[in-house]
Amino acid sequence: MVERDGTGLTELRRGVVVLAVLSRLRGPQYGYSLKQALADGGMPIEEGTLYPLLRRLEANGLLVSEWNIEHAPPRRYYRLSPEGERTLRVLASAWRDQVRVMDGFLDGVSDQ
Amino acid sequence: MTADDVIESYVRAVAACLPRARRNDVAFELRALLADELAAKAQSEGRAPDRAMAMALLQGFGRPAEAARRYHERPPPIDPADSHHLTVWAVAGVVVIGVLMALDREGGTVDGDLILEWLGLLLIVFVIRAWWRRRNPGVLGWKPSGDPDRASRVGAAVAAVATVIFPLFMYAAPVTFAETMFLGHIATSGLALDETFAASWQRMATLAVLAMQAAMWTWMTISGRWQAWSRRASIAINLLLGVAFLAHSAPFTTLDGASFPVFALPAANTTAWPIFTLVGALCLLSGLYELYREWARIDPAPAMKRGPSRPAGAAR
Repeated sequence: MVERDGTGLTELRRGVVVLAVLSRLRGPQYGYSLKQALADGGMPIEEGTLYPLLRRLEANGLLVSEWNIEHAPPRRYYRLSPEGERTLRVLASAWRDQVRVMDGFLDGVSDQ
Repeated sequence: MTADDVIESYVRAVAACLPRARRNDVAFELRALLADELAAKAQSEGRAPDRAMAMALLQGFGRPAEAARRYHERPPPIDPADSHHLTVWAVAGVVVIGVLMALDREGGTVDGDLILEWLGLLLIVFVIRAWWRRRNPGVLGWKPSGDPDRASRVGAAVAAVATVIFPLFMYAAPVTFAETMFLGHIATSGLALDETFAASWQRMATLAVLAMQAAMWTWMTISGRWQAWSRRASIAINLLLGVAFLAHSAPFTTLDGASFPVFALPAANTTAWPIFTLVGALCLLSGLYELYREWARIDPAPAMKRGPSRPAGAAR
């Protein structure tokens, strides 16, 4: 439900966070670098949300991770698993369909 | 306490809320992530990290228990969807116990501990229900119920007859009632009414309310449906009977100040007073329950308000 303050952005973003994260993990990233990549791309995500999400996606088999302890400080790098790549393609296709549908709904609605 | 100490303390608190097998793994990663975040924050602010900076950073992560929940979600002990029913049962139980405590003249039979025991029992029941549902999805599911306004004609007829026999007949003529029911095999002299009580307006008023109750059940036998007036009449009758029978559990007082009991024999009154209290409490609680149901009642669909209807174009 859209908040009474009229933004509704939290709900809107929540639905696409997984897709955004998967899209940025086609190459290996550690937590902070991924957060920066998302923020630089225009989608800032709270760290308290992002880091546990990575663990859940890994537990669901969409990501794989490995520790790099050759350099200080040690960091855990995540990247897409084969299942994650397939899921990314499915979600990307679904997202483009949604965009087409929503563009149709929003035809004639002016931006602020 | 340095910034590193604050971070370490937070990591320990988060890990302590996780399953043992995951604690070290999450702690190791969270420690590294927070170190990255703190270094970036210090760089953006152009100063060395300190305790205040670390605390400000951790504000964004939330309480350790909240952060741990994002890593490992545990099912709540009580299903949040059951909150409404838990509240209703808890309040209803407290009201019932409160009424019984208020009427417990002897003291000690019903005490405040019963409220805590009731709340504890509810907690256990709802925790077990939530656990059982998680283990057996689909079990304890919702089942449709019938029309709440439909009244069983057989049940109403039984209630009407039962009301006429007991308590109306028994209340109107207790000696005759006992002789009829026990075929003269028991002594009934103890049930003789006090002469003042027998002619009192309190007795007449109670008889009138009992007669109204019998009449209401008779009407329900004919109509087979609860209507607004009958629901409200039932509430009023139960509340009035509750008050009336509670008044019977102590000597009455005439306008000139003289007191009189229900029965002629003192021993009969001593025996009857707790019974009147119990019956009065049950009537009062029934009335309060019906009052709550009426308050919480959901308006039926317009078609149901008008009664059964035929589809458009159906043959009459």
